[in-house]
Amino acid sequence: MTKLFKDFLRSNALGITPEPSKEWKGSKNEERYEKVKKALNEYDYDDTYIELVDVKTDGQVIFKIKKDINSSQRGSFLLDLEFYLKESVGEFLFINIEPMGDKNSLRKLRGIDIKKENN
Amino acid sequence: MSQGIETKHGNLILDSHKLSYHMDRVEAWENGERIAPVSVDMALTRGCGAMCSFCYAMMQESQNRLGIKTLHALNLLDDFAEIGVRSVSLVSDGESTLSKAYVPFIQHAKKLGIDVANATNAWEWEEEKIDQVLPHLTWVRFTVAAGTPEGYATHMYKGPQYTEVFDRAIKNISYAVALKKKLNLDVTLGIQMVLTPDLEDEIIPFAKLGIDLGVDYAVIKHCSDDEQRTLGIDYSLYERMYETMHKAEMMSNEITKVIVKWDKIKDGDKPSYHRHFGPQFLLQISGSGLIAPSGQFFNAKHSKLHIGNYVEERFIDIFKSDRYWKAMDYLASPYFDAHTMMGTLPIQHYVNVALDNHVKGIQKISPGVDPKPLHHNFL
Repeated sequence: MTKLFKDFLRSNALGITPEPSKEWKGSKNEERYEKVKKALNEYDYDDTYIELVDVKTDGQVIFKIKKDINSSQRGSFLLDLEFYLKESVGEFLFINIEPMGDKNSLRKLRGIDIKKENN
Repeated sequence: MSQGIETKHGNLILDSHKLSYHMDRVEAWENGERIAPVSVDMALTRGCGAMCSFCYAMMQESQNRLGIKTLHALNLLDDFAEIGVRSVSLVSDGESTLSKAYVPFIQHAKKLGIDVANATNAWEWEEEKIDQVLPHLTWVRFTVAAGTPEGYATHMYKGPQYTEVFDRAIKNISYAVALKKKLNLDVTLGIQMVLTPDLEDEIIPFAKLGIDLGVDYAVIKHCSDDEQRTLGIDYSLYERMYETMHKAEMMSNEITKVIVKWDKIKDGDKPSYHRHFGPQFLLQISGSGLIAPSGQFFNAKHSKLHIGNYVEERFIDIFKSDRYWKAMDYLASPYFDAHTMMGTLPIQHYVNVALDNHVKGIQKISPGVDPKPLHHNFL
């Protein structure tokens, strides 16, 4: 058992994160969006909480929160959804939510805006 | 990794990890057990009166900020004690000295046998407060962005003319240094500069300030940035400051050690690991009450890694839930890539490097030898 788990940790450490195919990277925004949207339509979830915003070439699936999900349910709900999308559309897909800016009024004077896109 | 710096109080490890002194947890983790964190890094509020140019908290806003009352904070400590957390640092994403829970939290942690420490700008950390907490703290680290009053006020407040914030901090730090000496306290006092490439001219004045204050150390560290590089940190620009940093280190004396976190600075945005094993050993909690494995996931963007909020439910129930382990397991799986899915140089960086090397068989973590280093319960 111990040996098995050590092997599991090692294989996780060495594992390669799934990457989008060339076809996915070369696809149009609308095509990627539609593929994910279609899968979402077949998933049993409450769509009053989140809305699909964008599907990127790097595999990011970006949602907007429409209605707050309690912190005790937020993570599990979104991870389950991500695993469903990995299974139904592509293993390289991963979920992000639109970022929130700093609410601290003093720090906001720095004028730092959180970038939505990775460099 | 660095072996630490010898001081007159013991070996001080700032540029490495202390997992070697927690082999019971390392072995349990390797056996697939659900382990309690050795250390928790947290804040009692998201609020702060400063506006540091390098502050990662600007990128850590989550959906809600729930008010943390003293009872929530004390219950949290009781839960930590029950599961076996060994140390708590009040750093994370807020200025904990502003919270009404601050003094009781520190006193209660010590009573429970949990080592407790604090990072602060010291602006609201005045004599009465210091008297109540200093005997209970293992270390206090003061954020001092620059060595000159004008540089300090520029990077931590509204502009170079607002040097009163520098004066206030220095007054309070000096009081703590004197009290430590007077009461012969074990607490380690240090100042920290978060170095960004535009601050090179402040490195030597910072080291000199540390020596003049008589603190135990003055440490120069990297600046973390998120995965979008919101702060715009260019890690390739650090190398040109190496010579100045070496000069600063040479200023160390018997009382004050000037330390550069070389490993983190050199690793920059290219860590050796892809998985984030560290949060299982070193958990972070936001000043909003939010529990996410790492501070880098506090922002609403990373909602899938939000586990719960200890203002709404007891921490021990969160820790024992499947959702806690679902988030931890995700970060330890190939679905997570630390190079692209999180910011740079998280608080768990050294722990991540060590665990990654350990499981890959590159360098095994071996049991630590006596005497234990200072603050060995803080990973």
